Amino acid sequence: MNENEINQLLLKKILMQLKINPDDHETPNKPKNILIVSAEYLPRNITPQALHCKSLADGLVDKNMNVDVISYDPWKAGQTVEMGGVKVHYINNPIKSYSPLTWALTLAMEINRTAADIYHKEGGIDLIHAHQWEMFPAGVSLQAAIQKPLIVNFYSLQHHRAPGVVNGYTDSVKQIEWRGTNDSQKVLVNEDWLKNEIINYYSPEPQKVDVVNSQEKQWTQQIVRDYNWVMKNWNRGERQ
Amino acid sequence: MKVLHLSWEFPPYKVGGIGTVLEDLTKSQVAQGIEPIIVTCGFEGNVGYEHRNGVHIYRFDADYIPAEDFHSWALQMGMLMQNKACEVINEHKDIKIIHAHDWLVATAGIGLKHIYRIPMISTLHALESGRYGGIEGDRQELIHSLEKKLAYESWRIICNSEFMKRSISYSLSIPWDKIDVIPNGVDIGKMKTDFDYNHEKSKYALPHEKIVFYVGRMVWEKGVDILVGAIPAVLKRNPNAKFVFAGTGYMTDRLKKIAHDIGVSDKVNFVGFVDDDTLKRLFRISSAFAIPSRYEPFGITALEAMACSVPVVVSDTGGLAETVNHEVDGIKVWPESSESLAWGINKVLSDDNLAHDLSENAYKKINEHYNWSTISQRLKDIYNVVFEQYTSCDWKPSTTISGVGMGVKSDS
Repeated sequence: MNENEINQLLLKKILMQLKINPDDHETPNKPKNILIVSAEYLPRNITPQALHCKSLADGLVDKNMNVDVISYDPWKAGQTVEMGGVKVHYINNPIKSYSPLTWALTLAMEINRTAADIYHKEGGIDLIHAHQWEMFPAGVSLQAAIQKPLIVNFYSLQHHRAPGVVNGYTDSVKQIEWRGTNDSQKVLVNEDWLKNEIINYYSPEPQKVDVVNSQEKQWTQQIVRDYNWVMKNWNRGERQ
Repeated sequence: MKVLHLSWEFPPYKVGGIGTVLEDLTKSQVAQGIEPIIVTCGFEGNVGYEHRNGVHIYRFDADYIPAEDFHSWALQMGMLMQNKACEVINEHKDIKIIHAHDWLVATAGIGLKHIYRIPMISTLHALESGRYGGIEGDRQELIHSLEKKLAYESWRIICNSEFMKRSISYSLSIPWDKIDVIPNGVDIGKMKTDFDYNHEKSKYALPHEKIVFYVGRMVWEKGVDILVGAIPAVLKRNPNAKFVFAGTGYMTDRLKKIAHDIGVSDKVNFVGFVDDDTLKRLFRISSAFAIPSRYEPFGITALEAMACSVPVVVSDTGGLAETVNHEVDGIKVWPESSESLAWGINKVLSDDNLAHDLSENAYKKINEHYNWSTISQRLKDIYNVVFEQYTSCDWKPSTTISGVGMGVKSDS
């Protein structure tokens, strides 16, 4: 064991005695600037996704991360509101869409625009975390441009929202779900059952899909570990 | 100067006129010292990179896009186009201008503009409000609002006629001075062809018959039904006329039925889609070329016919009204009127001297005003102005994205 390794070990011991998780200690492989894109964010609450994203963002700020959230709210569009250290950027969709699919695909423009402002004005984005299929088109295109890792979060699947339905609409949504799964570096879900369904329908490598149950105490800690793992692999050039 | 063109169609895939226009435009841009890069759809496995006559063409796979309708297909296509364009921009690094063509690429163009902070201009080749004579229903609302957003986000807007400039300004609420009119052009050299005249003509008509030709989509806005309605009046004065219709569209069967019902089915020939070589030969064997459009932002086929020295008879509408000078280089007739159209066709078929003078003047006009070299120079001037303005504004990126950083010097 050389001197450097001994120092690292000592540092780890000291941090543990101080009850600080060594994983939280900043290294180049740990993302600092997180962009969360979610159609919902508290207080605008339609599904549990809104609470989940708010709790996640707050948890990340507690771990000294810079968190920007882009969320849809036509009444607050154009505003950036700081809530407990989280910067929430509200957007609207200027396009008159006629279905959730056309809404999601056109909203991506506004997400791109707002993310670009964050990227160019606020010191960059290290990692993109897109929640549910509506946000995947924007997440995928942002990743393609800025070349940063993408994590996607599933709360449900089109296969279950419209069981047995085969038409152009559901096929399109499934295609977007597949693309999010395929192009991202990590897929997060809140239960084993959903993980198995994603593997069944979209065939990612099983280790790419992680179950993080937000009912558990240390769940944001687990997500940070996923972020770090993804970042480390990304920096090594492992993009899938 | 590298310019990224976004277009859903590019030869060999052609639906409307954008693909043909873009092919000729980019070819002439190379001669002007511009390095055009095109990102477009690839079909039937024709995907990947092609370098043709100095033009970089990147095709992404657009074959397997599931969709409930064309509109959601187009938006998903836009997502794939944006992702492909990101690869291309990251590879080329120094793209100076994004040039978006029509609403189908709006989401891709706007997304790219903002992420990379590269100035975007757009060409609006047509408007949804014109295609169907108004905006009605959620599908049309979607396209209309995308057109509006694209126009709003564009540094400059290019259109091909004063008629389109008025339409864009009025319909999309765009300031007059943000819009530049640059007409489309035609490559006269490309329209030349060697062929056996009699053999070619025998495929469509008897030796003594005079062909009245139409090419275009068989859709309402093109007014093909008005031309079919004009046939009896033409035959009354010129019984040796024969009508050849090239193109496809949802109205084809209906048009055939109308021709049958009015008793002229022996005088019409619907030949469907024709390739470029066949099209050139068809122009050359025709005695008149008719454009009966209800809505026509420009009317590129009028230029092609004029370049082939065929007298044109056009509706006095849209861009056609500006291209054709009545009884000097073509005949203009009342839109929506089969009677007026028949009058115009009869005038050309009955007077060989007039037909000769019209086609000669038309050819001269094309040569002087509608050549691609002049047109692409005007576009290049706009690119340079936009880039100069961009370099002196605060919107430039403070950091680079994936190594893409904008230079601040305009190319000449």
